Amino acid sequence: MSAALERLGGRTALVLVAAFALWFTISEWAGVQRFITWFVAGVGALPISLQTVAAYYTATPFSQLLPSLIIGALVGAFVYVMAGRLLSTNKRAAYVLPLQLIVGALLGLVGGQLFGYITQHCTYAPDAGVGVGIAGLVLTGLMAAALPALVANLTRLRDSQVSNAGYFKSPLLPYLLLVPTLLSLLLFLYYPSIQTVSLSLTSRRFPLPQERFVCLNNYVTLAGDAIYQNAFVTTLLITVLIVLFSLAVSLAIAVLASQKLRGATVYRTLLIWPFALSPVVAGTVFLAMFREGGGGLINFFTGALFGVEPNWLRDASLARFVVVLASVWNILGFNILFYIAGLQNVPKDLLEAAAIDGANLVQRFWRITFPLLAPFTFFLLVTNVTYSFYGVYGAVDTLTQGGPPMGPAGSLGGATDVLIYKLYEDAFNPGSPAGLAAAQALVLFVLVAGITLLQFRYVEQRITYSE
Amino acid sequence: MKRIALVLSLIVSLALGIAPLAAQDRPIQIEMVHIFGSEQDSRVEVIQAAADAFMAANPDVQVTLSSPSTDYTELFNGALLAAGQGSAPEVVLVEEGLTQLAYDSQLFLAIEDLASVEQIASLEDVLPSLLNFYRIDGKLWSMPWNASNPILYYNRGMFEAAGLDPDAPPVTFEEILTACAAIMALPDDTRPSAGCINWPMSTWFFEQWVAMQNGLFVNNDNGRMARATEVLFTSPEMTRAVDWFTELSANGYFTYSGTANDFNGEGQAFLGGSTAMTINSTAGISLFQRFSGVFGVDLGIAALPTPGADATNGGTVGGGSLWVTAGHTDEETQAAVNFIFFLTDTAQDMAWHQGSGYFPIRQSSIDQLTTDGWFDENPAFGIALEQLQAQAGNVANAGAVIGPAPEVRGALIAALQSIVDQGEDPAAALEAAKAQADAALVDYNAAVGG
Repeated sequence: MSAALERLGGRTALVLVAAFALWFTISEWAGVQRFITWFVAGVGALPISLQTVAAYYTATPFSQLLPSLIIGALVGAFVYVMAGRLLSTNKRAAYVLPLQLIVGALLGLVGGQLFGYITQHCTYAPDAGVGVGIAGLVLTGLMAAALPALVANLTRLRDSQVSNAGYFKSPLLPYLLLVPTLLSLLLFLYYPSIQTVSLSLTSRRFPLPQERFVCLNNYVTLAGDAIYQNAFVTTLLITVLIVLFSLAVSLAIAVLASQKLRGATVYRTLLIWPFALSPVVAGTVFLAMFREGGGGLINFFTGALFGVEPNWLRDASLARFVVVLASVWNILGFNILFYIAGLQNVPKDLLEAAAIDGANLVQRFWRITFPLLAPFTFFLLVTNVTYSFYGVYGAVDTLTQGGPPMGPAGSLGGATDVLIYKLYEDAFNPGSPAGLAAAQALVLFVLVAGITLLQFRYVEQRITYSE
Repeated sequence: MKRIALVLSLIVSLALGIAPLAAQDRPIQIEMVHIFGSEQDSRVEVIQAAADAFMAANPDVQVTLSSPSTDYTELFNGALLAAGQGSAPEVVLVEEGLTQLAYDSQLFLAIEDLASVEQIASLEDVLPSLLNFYRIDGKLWSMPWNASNPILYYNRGMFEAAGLDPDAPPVTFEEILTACAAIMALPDDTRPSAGCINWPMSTWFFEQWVAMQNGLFVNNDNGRMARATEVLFTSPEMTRAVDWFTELSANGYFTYSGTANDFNGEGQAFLGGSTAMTINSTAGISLFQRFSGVFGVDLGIAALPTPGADATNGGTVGGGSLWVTAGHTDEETQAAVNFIFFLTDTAQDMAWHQGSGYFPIRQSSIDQLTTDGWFDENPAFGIALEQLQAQAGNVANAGAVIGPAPEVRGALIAALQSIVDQGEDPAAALEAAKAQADAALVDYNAAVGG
């Protein structure tokens, strides 16, 4: 009976999926057609791209290629051998050093050339500056190290895994099932990422088609730009403030909202509400409150009650405060949601036992509830940091547009000009430097990835996940 | 199995039933994108009526109006990105500030090259100050359509309370200062709460004041002989306007919302009685008139103040123009040009002015409206139009075309903000803004090629 039901359910699902695919293909035929054309052209262009690559390598002076080849091979061989020693789980396996050296060198060559080809070996050109030259060497080495390390890691994973034969009848089936995911990743993540890298090496003005290859100049510009450096400091400051405030306030509210009260569910729903608003809407709400020059709600009341009307948006510190406040308010609901869930998971018997042992309310919170919430706090820490780096754009844009300016005409940047806002301005304002924005996008990505890694490395180690 | 087949065939027939909806029966289809798409915007009805009339006269052309964004910048970005993929709308409404970019993008065709002899001849009737704005290298690239400029709104009640004549609003910088001194000397309960005058933190008004003194905003004849290579922020004309602005602010007369380009917020503050005067676009006349009743403000409207009696050159004109994109069949391109000329002929032009508040762009429309007594019934529109007709018609009135306009104008806004908010020295701030803007121009010109 149940088997028959299952079969029926499976078939119904299959029919529905097929029907949806059919409907989608027909109703979106123009788009599907263009995708197919694009895809076929892409695949058809593969031999041509190989020819282009070959032509490139024959045309580039050997003196420009040689250093990158040497570095790639040396770094690759070293990393692959070291990774083999450190990661190998199969100690008894025959250890073939020469083979490992050759595989590592080859992988390193490819990795190094990935960087070299994308940058057209411009960092090795005789007229490249010293800084660019050194940056080129380091990045070639990093890329040459990354590929062998990745392969060594994948090999280890494969070797250490228990055989999973029997789960799928055909070895191809799992890959077939992965195709839609891989396709969308390829289309919407990997392809744009590569586009961003190549865009960051050009001088281009959005949305004009003209572009010019400028090597690492955009990165050099960023490194020497006082406004960009200040934006970096501002971002760190605003991030720390948002994370501290949002975690502390949301924990306090979640504890209160978890009390057994009449209508508690209503409170909880209302508390989560701000999260349903986009940062732009949050910014608009806060602009209506903090606007100056007679148009704002807060100054209407402070003026009437105390006779003072602070310059919320025109003063550097206050403007930062308002942006932080709007962002905290916006993300508060998300944090409260998770903390309420976490508080419900704190075992009552532990709290009761502590109460019997004479622990007061504060002790029970700090010694039992808070440590047990650690996994939630860690998760929220990571998401809030990411939000502070990427998500505050809308609030900044509606409230201050990065201002108030610091220095004459903002020559030192703006008090709320965070990295993501500067990036967005440079990327999507008509006529603004898109190549520079692409470079900023990569720098920002590396920064956030680095911070997230650090969090996992140093914060997560102190957390015990229960059950 | 039977049931599955049934379900499947049902779904297929449903899908096939939906698909042909896209088919149209008219052979030539053109699309125009504009910014008047927000829900309560009645202006879209005026445009739709024009499109219907055009289609009635041209049975083989289908005109689709759409408003993918109510923001000029997004509309422009979207159209250009679509053009890069070969699916651009035929007609795009482009804001005045994006003119140079539209020209540099090489994705548009000059309307003067496409227009018929009769259509070219009909341009004689269009106000020269408008045509000048959209001429680059002596050629008309796009058709002016929705034109506006800034105007002074003032609170007649406050003027009376301060002993000023509400029928003689201030005309010059000096008179604004005098009026403000009288208004701010009022007792606490009748004085405007935030300051004497406010306006959106924008460069638009300063560009007007420079043009009124026959000064230029950027070099190379405001970027019209060749791409601009230098901004003229430190010119005597700009310095005069900024010095006056600094004085207004230092005396506590000027105020603003604290955020740049807050056209709505500044208007609200004025209507709420926080200031006695404000400067805003003529496109807002009907809104100001409607809400002054709601707020109980006795509204006065006057021309934009000038730097002084010597500044007689007149301002520039803002707004948008209609551009034709490249890459369509000849029939489509021709239909697009014909539609643009239809949309801007005398009858449609009058309807557009009355329905939107934007200027009439043709002398024949103005004459007809004057004969009909329209300007007597709506004196505010008459003031706005006089201001437009007062322009001398030279390169200063044509206004600046700048490629990296957001960066260049952003630098000047930052300078103005740093003067009034952080107390920076005006000369130093303008110097710093010029350095930033010049760097943007150099980089832009290098990227675009020359």
